[in-house]
Amino acid sequence: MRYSVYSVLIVFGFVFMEWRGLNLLPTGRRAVVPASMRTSPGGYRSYQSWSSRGFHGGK
Amino acid sequence: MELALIGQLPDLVAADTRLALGQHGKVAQLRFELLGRMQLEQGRASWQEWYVSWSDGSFGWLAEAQGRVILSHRYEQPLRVPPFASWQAGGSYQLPPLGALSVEEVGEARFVSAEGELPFRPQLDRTYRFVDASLQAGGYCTLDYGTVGDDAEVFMGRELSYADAGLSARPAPVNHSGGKLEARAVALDCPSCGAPLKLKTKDAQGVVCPSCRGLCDVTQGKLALIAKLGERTPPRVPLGSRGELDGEQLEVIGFMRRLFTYDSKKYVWGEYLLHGAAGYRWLSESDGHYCLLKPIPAAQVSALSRDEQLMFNGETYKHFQSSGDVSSFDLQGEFYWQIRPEDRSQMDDYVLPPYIVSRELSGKESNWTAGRYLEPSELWRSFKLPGDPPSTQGVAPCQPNPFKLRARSQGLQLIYALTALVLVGVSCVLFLPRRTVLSIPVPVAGPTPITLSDPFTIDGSTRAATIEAIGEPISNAWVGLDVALINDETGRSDEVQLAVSYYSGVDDGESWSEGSPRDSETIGSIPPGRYVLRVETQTETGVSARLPEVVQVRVKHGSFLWFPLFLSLFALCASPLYLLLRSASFERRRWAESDHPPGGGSEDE
Repeated sequence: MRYSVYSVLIVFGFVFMEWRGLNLLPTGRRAVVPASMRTSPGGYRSYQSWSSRGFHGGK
Repeated sequence: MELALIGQLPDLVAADTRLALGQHGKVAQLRFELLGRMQLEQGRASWQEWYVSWSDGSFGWLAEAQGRVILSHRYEQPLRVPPFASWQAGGSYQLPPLGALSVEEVGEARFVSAEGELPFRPQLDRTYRFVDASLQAGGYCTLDYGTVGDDAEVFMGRELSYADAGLSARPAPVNHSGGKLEARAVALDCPSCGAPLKLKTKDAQGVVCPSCRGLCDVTQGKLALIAKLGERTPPRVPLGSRGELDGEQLEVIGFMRRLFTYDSKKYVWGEYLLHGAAGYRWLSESDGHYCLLKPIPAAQVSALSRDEQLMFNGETYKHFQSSGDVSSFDLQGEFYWQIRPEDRSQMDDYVLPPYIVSRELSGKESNWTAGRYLEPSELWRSFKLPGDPPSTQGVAPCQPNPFKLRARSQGLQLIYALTALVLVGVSCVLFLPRRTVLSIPVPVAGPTPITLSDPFTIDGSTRAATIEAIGEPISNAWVGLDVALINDETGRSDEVQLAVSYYSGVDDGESWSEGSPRDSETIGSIPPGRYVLRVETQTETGVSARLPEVVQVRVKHGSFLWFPLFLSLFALCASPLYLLLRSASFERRRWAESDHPPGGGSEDE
């Protein structure tokens, strides 16, 4: 009985995660771009994201 | 008709009977009357046989011993029977046309006393040889070989309860008024110390004096000292304790410890003799575990392959352990046979937890019992024993596996849950909205490594988004992309790294390749809003490198997430898997003490 309830909760949890797009695996970095940068012309262009530690070769 | 006095017989011995001369019974529309009664004994036990007159004019016998009633009649067809010496207790034989039979006892009975009408002239101390067997087709047969020779009279019988034989008129040796037992005790004095002994049952044949530890035989209603026993250790369930088990009111009347030595290791367990209206029951005690057992006809049990399995009640039981040369000590209370400390027997146990079938082979007697595991708490509660039952050690042969039942139950529920999960997952793929919200070409060799998309809108609800990069054709080169999906309204930036690459070549005559012109990452919980995509490229080329002019970058909102699916699968399977492992461990511990330990051959080998 307890396992039945547990199973239902798991299935509902799965539906919720899919519905809300909750990816529990960290796939990148999350940051906040300052408002000053967003409002200044070309601000995004100068925004440093991965540039300091980006991909450096496949072979 | 005239009667002539031909002699006198000794008085009948007090016996645990609930029948009387002249009493009537009824089986399948036929009435019968008890005309006469013989008392017989065989070595260490006694019983009585009633001469029966049936309403159809025929005659038969009714045997009564240890609370069991067997009605029998003479088998009139010619039958070729083996010589008496060829029978062996515990053996299985074919006796056409009766079929397969299992011999329960081979012995010699002595005529003790009689009353009423009998079909022959009773001779005191006359003996006759007999074979008692149970038939695989059901019922019993007795072969009466008389005093000498190998000719036998055959009697066919079947076991009935007193009620089924219409014999419930007289009270049982114990009754159940108010749920309490009233013992019909017989008082005798100990021949060793003179202490009064009250026998709980009238067919007790052996009794141990609690005062002087004298072991006495009960013969002709008197006690005869056989031996003085050593100090006793009080059993956990005291003698005289009463309780109800499996619907039967039972009283503990005897106790003994059993000893079996194997490979210099001593195995000791206890056995209680219980008595109730339906006869005798056994309660075995080992390491705090208990089993309740009752006698069964040998023919109800049939051996399967190589004696490692047997069938009982349509179920297969696995051989657990055989113990040879089992002795008894620390005898206490009373027994329905003349027990001796030097008695030896062989025991074979077969299990189908929580059930057990056991055979005890001693001399010319083979006794089968079947029973079940008894939770110590049930015993303590039923017999109103003080305190809590002692903690158990190890796993008993027929102890039910608590994990197996739960694992089986959860396994079934797991199938339902997995089915639901798959259906829900497919529904998510089919019905949850998913669309490409941006697709831009990102120049690889442009004047600046940074590409900014125009602002674009993500509608709907918060969902996962997948950023995908496709760079074709590419050969022996790589393009790295630092991608930031920036919410233009809140400034939240989700950044991932992507790489498209493809390398190939030939080494030592073998061609190889690695990398892929496609890459993607999924970001969780992207809410609706206005976004821009910032892509910064890096690349490196070799001599034979070939780079795409652009890498196509797409943003898809509403992606299906695999990780929650795998997480849910794991969460659902974890508990049944855990129970399966615990169940396997439990069974390993159970069988480690058997003749068939896990991972090894038989200990007999």
